[in-house]
Amino acid sequence: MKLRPAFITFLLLTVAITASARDIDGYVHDESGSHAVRGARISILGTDQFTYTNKYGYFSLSVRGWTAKLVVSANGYDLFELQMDSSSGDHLEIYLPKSDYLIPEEVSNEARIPSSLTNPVSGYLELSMDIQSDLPVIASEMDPVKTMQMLPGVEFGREGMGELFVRGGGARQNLYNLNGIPVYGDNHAFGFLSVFHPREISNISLYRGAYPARFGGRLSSVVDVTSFYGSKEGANGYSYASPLTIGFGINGPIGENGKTSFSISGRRSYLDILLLPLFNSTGMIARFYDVQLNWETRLSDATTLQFHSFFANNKYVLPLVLSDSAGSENWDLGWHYTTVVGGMKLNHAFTKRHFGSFSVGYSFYSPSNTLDIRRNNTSVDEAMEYDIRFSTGNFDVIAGADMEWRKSSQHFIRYGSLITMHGFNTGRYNEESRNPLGEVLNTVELGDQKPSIGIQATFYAEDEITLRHNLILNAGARLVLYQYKSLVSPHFEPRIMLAYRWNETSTLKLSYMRVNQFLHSLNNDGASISMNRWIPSDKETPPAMSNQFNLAWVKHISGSSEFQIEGYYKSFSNLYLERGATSTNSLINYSSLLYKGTGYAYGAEFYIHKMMGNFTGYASYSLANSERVFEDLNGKEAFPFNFDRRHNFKLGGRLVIDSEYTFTFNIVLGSGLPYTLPNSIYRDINGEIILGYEQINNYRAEWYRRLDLGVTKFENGFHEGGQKLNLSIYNVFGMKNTSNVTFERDDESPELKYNAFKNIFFVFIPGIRYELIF
Amino acid sequence: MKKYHFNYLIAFVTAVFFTAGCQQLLPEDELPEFVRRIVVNGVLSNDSTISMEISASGNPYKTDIRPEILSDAQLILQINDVTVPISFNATSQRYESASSVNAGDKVHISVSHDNILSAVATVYMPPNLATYHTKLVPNGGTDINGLSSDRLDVVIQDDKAARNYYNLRFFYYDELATEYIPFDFPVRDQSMLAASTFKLDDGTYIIKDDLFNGKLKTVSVVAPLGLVAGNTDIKYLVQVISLSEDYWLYLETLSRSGSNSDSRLFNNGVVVQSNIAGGLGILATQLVESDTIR
Repeated sequence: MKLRPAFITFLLLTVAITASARDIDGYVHDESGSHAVRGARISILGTDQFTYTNKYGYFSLSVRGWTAKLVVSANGYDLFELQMDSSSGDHLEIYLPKSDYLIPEEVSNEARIPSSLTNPVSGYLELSMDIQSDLPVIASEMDPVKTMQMLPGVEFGREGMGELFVRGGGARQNLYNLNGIPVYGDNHAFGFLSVFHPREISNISLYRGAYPARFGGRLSSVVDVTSFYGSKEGANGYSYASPLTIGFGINGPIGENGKTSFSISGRRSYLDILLLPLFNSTGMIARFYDVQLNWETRLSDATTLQFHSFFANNKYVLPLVLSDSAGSENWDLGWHYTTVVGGMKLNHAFTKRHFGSFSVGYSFYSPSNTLDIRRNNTSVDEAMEYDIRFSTGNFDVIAGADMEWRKSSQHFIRYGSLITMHGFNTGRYNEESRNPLGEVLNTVELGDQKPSIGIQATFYAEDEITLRHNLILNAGARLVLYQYKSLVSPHFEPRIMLAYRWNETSTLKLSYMRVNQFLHSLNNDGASISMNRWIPSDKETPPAMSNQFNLAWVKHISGSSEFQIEGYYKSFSNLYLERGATSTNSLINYSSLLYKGTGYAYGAEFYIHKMMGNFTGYASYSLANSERVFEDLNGKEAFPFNFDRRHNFKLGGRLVIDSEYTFTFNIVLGSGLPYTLPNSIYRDINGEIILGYEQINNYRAEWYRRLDLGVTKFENGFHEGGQKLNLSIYNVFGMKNTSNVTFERDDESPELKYNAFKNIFFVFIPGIRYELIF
Repeated sequence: MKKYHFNYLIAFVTAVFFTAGCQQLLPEDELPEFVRRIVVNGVLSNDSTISMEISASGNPYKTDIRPEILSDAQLILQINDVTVPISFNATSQRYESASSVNAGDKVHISVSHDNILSAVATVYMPPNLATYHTKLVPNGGTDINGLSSDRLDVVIQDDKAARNYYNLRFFYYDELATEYIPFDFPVRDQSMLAASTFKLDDGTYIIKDDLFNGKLKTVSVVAPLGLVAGNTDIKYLVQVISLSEDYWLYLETLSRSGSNSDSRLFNNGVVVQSNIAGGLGILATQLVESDTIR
């Protein structure tokens, strides 16, 4: 048979066209265009081609042939299908409608595979906005960090505090990464609330296991937060009031081309306003606030420019009057801390396969304690007023680049660098005394009055490759060059993550991570009040280091639920603890007053998560052990970490009754936390009786039990928005859980004797929050 | 739109929030187990014979077991691995030996007593200062009253290999009372102004070598004018005492342990430094270098 030349040409052209691949890219947003959808799966129907969006909602994919059907799926969103043909452009902007909770069953299983099955990173969890705003928390104060406390492997520490203790690590071993900038002052009201507000967050996720090479600098976890940059479709806003705070937010497009948007928001505590006469008459101050302004513009399909800024301030002043026969003194004890984070980010797709994000930023944190003393009835020769201020603080100036190169749909390479200039005020004491005429009599300055500077240069690379169709490897490394004063040191951090797709619905994951932490936090762990103080690594306090191993099994159940078992072991070295109560000496001259030690933690976590449907929720059980070993403590023997909870069972859920009512609950049941009580009294070198702490964390509180309930009512009809009323009760059954343990001298005993007490702070705490959404 | 009257609710919630807490006494049987321990308190110095107090600790939550001095403890004292005699002196209530220690000596003690865990400690005397001398400069400085007066210079060579601690003591000689008395002087030296420095009850200073590690250090103080104007021979006594790190940490932590009398919600207790294995307390060492200025 002879083939005609024209037919042969046609055949060859057809083969050539269908065999050739064209690259497409684009962004996936929610339907309002307000939020980038991270982790959305974009697949080509009938092929094994798929990819996931990155944290900016960006994806790129190679499509063979002129026609293809794209399927886009993401948790909480309707399935989206797009028929592409020769007339389709190479750049897509996909807007996903909110889900009616279930991806239709007729869609193939493959399209519904969540990234947890194909992502070699284990221990990664993302919080949805609904969960953040509806789950019951103390006093109905929305707080994504408190919601994260309900996740497996995450310990909530002292009751009521908005801090995370991840897999045996400390609260300051978590990297709060706001748009790539570390946040050092992460809380309000001494830790009661985190500085993050759900409505100003586009995405918040937690890496609680080994994390990829693009993250580093903290031993325990990464809380990756992306700001909300506003809707490009229309103006929106909200305002709310809850028992502690009131807040507002406005966002929307700037101009009519739909390329630029902004978001501005703020919140403030208002107890001082409610009790204004009391505060005015006593001079008491107790308030915190934060504001943020974010702005984003699409310069082109390939380029986006973002600007973000965040400012938070806390100020508390407690006035006291001290008097004796010689006269009286007015003391104003003050606590102040300020957090500032800001930066710019340029995201640019160089080609359909090469995406880059370039950023500059600034992070500042400045806590201080003040004491203003005014002595009454003093003569001109005597000091009448003393202003005493102890301050610490640190700042970072950061420039970085993060690149993603999609070599193929089965091969991603990520690389980047980050240059950080760290500035430290490690402890500064200033005192000024004045006579009644206001003349300065004396000044005292202790500690470095100028900030000391350190430099950190970080380079990383990750290679994520599908070795076989069921074996995915993410191998990476991080090289950090750190310099502070005379300490110059390179640090190499390997990261290896392997995912083996056991079958269509289950994956086995194995990972190893080494990470260094170059900034140590010296907040008083026993207090768990978070005016934390950051100090640099230097020759006397070398960087802390952790090695972590994880083994996880992820099982996807019926398209809407997931079951995970994860085991971990991690070791810590170069951990530091302050030697107990603080003094001016220990505040400024800290390095010789630190205990240096090591630690280890291991455990197993069981987690089932129902992600879709009218009822969503989770149940988890953690069996964990975290211990510390310090040369000068506990007779050199290991002792439990302050927030070691051996057993921890958590159950939480959200039931959507109809478009108006949603019910939520939390159940927490866990071992009690350990506390340190003195276990001896003895004579000191001067013959005085002092207390002995021979064992650390030698008292373990009884089991912790709690049930929280919440209900949210939403009503449509306020300026195309609605109003939302949230009622919650924290610790419904009024369980008398131990919030802290203290001891006091027994004044009724004729001989020296002490009594120990457990303090119970949070028993049956109702909360209410009212929101207007417009 | 429905109106929600939430002001009253907020007031209610606030009230509940601040009144819900309470305090409960922990039963004694739940408290940490008490283990009675031997407590050693002693400072070994090259300018005196060896003396130390041996006591037992008490239970902080019960009054039946009190801290008490042990007069019948079995104490073995070794200097440079040679056992030397030591016995209890009922007058001073201390264990005393006729022996003394010198720079670099190794001292080991082992203490046991019926029904109490044994305690041991091994400590070393600080080495001699590589360089040490003092100098009197008449009218070399301005005293605390702004008058020109005697200046005392102390020169020491700090050892770079170790973290060193010094107790600087300046006395004038009172010929009438025939005793050495500390005097006040304007503190101008940066090391003495440093936050790590602390002043003891006897008016002397303990400094760290943070600011002069490995260097030749001169500390100058100016005595008040007229203190020794009538003295016929001895005018001043200057002492530089090298402290062991354990001793410095003990003094530092002890000075902060006052807050241990009660625990506070926002404070950890201070663990007072100890170098007694199996026991409590401190076996401190110090090397005294004295210079009498005539």
